[in-house]
Amino acid sequence: MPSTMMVPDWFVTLLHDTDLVILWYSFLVNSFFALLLLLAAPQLFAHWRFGAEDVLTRSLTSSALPRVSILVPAHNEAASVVDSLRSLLTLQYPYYEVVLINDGSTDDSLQRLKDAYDLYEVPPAVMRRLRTERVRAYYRSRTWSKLLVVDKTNGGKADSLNVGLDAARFPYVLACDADTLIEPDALLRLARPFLFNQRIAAVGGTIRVVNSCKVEDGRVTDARVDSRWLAGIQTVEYLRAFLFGRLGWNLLGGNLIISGAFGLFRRDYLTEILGYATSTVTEDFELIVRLQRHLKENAIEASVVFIPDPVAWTEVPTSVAVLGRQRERWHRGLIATMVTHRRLIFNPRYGATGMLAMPYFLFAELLAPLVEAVGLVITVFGSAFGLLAPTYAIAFFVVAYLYGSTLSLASILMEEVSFHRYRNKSDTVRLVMFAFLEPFGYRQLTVWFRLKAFVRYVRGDVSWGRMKREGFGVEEANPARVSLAQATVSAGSRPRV
Amino acid sequence: MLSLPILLFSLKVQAVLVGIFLLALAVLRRRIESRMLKVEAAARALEPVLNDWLVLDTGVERVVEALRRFPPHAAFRGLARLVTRLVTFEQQQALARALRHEPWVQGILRGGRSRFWWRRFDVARLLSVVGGEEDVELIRSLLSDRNPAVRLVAFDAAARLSGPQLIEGALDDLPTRLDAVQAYQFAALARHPRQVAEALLPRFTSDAPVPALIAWIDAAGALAVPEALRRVRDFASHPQPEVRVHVARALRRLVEPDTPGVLLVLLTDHDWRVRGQAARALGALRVMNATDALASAVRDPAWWVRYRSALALAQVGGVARSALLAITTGDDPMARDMSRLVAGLSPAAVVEMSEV
Repeated sequence: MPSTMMVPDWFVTLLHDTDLVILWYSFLVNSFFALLLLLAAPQLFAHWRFGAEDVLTRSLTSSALPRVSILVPAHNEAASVVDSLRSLLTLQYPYYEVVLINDGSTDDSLQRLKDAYDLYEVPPAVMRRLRTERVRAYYRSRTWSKLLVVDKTNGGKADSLNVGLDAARFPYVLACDADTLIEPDALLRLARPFLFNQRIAAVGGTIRVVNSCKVEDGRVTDARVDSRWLAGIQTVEYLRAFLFGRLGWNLLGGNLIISGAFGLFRRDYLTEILGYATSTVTEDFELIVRLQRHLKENAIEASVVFIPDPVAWTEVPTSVAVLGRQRERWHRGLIATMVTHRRLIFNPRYGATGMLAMPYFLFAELLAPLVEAVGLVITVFGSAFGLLAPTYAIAFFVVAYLYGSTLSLASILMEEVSFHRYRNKSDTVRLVMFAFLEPFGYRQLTVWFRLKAFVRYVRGDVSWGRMKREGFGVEEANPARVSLAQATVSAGSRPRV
Repeated sequence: MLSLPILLFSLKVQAVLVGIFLLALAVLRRRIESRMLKVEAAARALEPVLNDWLVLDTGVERVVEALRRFPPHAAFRGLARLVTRLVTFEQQQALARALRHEPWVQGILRGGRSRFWWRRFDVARLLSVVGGEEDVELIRSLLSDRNPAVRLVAFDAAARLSGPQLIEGALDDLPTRLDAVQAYQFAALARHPRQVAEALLPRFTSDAPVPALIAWIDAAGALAVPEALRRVRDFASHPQPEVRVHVARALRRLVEPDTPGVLLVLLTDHDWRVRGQAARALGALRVMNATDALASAVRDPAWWVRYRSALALAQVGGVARSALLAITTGDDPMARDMSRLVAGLSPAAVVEMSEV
């Protein structure tokens, strides 16, 4: 190795070997993603076929569908909560109720709900099993029998969901965010595994990016790809994560992510594990790890599955600052969860969760920013100072980035041949363009945000940070939608593979 | 160790892959859009023809003729949409007879024993519209297909037929199915209540295995055939509480003078699940003289029994509703809370909450 600087040979060798290790790491991680893609493809095809209109209609008219309580935590969402709720109350599903938990809102959310839905206070006739912040009152609607509103003192999203778990009447609960748009037939599609004679502990659907989509009456009527780079790249990221990441895990077992913004759970299992943890900043991920642990420790034969065609739409950050807070929080939550449940890692007692999923999350997710950062520094400075041959820079680019872009492209292809949600050719072109733009700046930014998570975790930071939303269809100037801009939300939907 | 040729080779591999994906994206997108246009055109063209046939009874030949004009996949999609429409049994039969020997229908049906599940899936979907007695063997094989989606749709195909073999087979399978699948099968079986009841009756024996007995009791409840439900009533004193739970639930469909007596006994069962279902059944049957028993049950220690009993009182109405209102000012706090919760519900809400 030619060296233009006066540095000891052992240092050059160390750099060289470290870079080689990082290259192999990137190659193996990306190859694992490629394996997930291969596993996902036949399942995607299957679910696309299963989602045929006549098959769905048959399910809709049968009494076989499970009864579901939709839990909607809401905090200071006065401007949008009435409309959001209306779209939830008109889903194509025969047996469900909506439990809206007003988490100590300081605006007039509750009054607006009372006026819009003719609410009346009912006694606290619910079985309380979980410890939560104080519930102030329960309300039922005279116009919508499937609506229950719970007013409580502020305790955060997890606490609200726990209140909802207690208040729910039905054996399955769907956790969703007040600002997530659920497609009318999504619940019907989500119920599919139950009709396939599967024992289900949790089932998750796809989250898609709503930025720039046309939204009418709480429904996405025209799916579009945002032309702004940050939202556009996240659209590709979400496609990749949901269409092959999670789908691939179905076959490997040990699926560990069901989005907190759109996941269906068996209520009794959640109650047995004492509901959502209020001390974590990523309550959805922590919940699934704890649920998988509970299932394995008690030899319960029930699976956690992901299916791709039920869709909910969420808004992604369009500013670097907000994205940074979101990604930092997600990674901090991941670190905390992995530390809390460290005994599962490489523990054969926990089956695929212990031997595959947890090690994957440790090596390919938790450590990824550290490895990538070291790789970047070594490659850039090593090449600049002549300590590394240019071949390493090329290798790093090919293995760490181009490989990833190729996988993104494959996920776009899968989307096109299956659900084909983006009907405009220009959107497909944008998706392809963003798949190739992702390695230039965006990847490095997310590495930086995730590195900050380590520091904040060590400092013991458990704050959520604030996330500002733009609202759906802002150009239409519908006050009900624009007003989402003022809402602060604490969730988000992790597009992790 | 890394060498430039290896790296260049891997770069080339990536480039080729990217090229293939981009090409596939362009070609497949074009193909999919053209296919979608054909399907949409078929649906548009078929809509008025189907409307005329369904509403004006213009003759099934025009439907067959219209379907013939499209490629098989588009015709199939158009036909499958019939599931979303209200079609009488006679119309279904006429359409099945008319389509049976169409080449495109025969083409799809040839996939019934294909090794590819999606072909068998399409066959099951098609048979749910055009299936006839000559398809019994094929439907039976689809009912036991290894793919759950094929099995599920095959129930609908089987529901078109009343063959005893299919009904016996479905009843044999019931205990191995989870609740949701059982309920789906009941919906299919419900099209032939008499035949199913006949097949069920000999199965109701005291030595029947509990899981099977429960599944068959549920089937009897779903079908609501009095003959079968009368036999179900005999199991009200079964030693297994699970069985009594299902008996109480099924009996809400048996409107006969003897039923309330059995349910009132079950309302005092030591298992709260039995009491809850008995209260629900008494409400569904609107048994006025169960008012006192239901009012007592609103004070039950079990939440679900209080809930079901309060709903039952609201459902029965009249004197029972007055009893419910009286409890709202009573001295039992749990009963008071529950009765206030239910008393505030609209009649529609009471019905909805009682049903699920």
